[in-house]
Amino acid sequence: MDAPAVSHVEVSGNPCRVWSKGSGRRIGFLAGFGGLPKWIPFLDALATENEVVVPSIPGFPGAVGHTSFDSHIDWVLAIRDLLKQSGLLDGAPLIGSGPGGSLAADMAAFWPGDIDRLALIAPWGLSDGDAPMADPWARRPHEVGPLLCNVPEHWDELKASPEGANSVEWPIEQARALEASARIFWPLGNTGLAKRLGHIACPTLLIRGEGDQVIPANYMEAFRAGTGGETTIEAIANAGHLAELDQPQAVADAIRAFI
Amino acid sequence: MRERYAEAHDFIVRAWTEPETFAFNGRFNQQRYVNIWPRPVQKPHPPIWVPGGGSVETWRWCAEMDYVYCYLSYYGYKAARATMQGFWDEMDRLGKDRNPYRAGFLQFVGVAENEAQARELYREPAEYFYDRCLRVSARYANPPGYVTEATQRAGVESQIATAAAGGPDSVDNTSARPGIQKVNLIDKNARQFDAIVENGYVIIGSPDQVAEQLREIAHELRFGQLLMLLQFGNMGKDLANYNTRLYAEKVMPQLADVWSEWENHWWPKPMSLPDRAATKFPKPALAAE
Repeated sequence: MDAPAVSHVEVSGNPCRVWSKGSGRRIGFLAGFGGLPKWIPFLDALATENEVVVPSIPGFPGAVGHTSFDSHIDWVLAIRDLLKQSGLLDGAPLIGSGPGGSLAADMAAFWPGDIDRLALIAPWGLSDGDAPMADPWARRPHEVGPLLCNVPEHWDELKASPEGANSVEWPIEQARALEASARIFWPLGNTGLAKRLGHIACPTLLIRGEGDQVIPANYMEAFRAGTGGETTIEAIANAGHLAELDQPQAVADAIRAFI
Repeated sequence: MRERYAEAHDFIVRAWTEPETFAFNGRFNQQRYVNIWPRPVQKPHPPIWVPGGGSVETWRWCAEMDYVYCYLSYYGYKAARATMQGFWDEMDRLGKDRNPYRAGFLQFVGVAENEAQARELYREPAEYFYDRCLRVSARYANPPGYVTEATQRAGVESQIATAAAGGPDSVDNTSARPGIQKVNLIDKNARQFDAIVENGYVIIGSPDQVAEQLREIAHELRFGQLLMLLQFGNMGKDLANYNTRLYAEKVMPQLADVWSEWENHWWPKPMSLPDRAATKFPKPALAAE
């Protein structure tokens, strides 16, 4: 894989990495649980036909600043700022996974005119009292891969420290990603998104790996029932919660067809 | 999380010291009318002791604020060595005096007439505690954001140094949450009494043996405030009373001279007897009796 181009934007005084690769219609991607310490094959699959722009969420790998946000309002404004500076608010389709998917949905709910369409991979943000999403934070290290991926090695590979990386900073960057997502979504992943779904006017594609052990299947139906725009659900075989890691081509194909 | 803690601390100290009702407009706490009742007697306020588990920021903060740093570990003096060494190194770096009363330490103690009797009496309560009470899944031991990045760095660097040295204590850290790894070099898995005693979790023996061991660790770790756990596990009231009384009568006097050359600025100062309100109530019987 060729490396993507790297630039930085500033959100609340802190730098956030922005990757971009490919040419064609610009699309944005907000990362899933654990973030993107590395560029992944799924993004390359998207970049064959589109200009893929990947801004890092504050606190996720590539960006800091997560400790300055005290409320969900603070986070929503920060993500809007991030996307604006990344050139992703001028009618670009927005893709998001898990936590990134939830924040993308918030963008469309708060600013319906600014988002062309949403492709969300197992988005967080809803919570069913009887069946909450799995707790991704209270896990022993060897339990995390199996929870998130059909093939745990996909997670391990993403999280493995590359040759020559700073062996002190790498694990801290991964720990920071856990903290950042917890600051937004702990304990139940419930950000009140359910009350805002009706404000989403754009078409939405909901993607979920059939083997997803984090977000229950009925969450997708609840999400669809709540949105104001036309929403379809697509299941991906042989994929877990991080479907983009388990089945990069299938997920990219589904998104490309939708865009 | 430390920002929340710092603000809560400031809020409490203000509540203790502000004579008039005040408003508090913090980042995390907002209250319009703050007026605590009853008010503390000691001036400027009661002494403050801070429990810590090894975060470097806590040592520094205790030094700056002149608070007592208490290392509250269930794993005894052997596990505490690295942390207390780090604490006193930091005190030296900050140019603070080495008054041992700046440091507090928690120790389980079981006293009896002799060691054999102590083993017999305290075996079950100790095993009950370590084998049954102290069961926290590793899943919940290290919540994201609980340990600051500075402390993580200190832990990870210490581990790398250890691993590089290649000794038998090297720890394989594959976790995305390194946490405070230094203390993990000590075996924290002892559940049988012999191992519990061998590892120093609980100090047991005759009064003389216990006094000698406590004197030794007080000097080794350099702490002046000793927090005793004389009741632990499923120890019943009778044994707890026996342990406490024997400690108070036969062990404590032996330690009266320890650190006598230093002044303990951090001990509570109750209101003097003449200042206390007179009551007609009979003096309450000791709860233990």
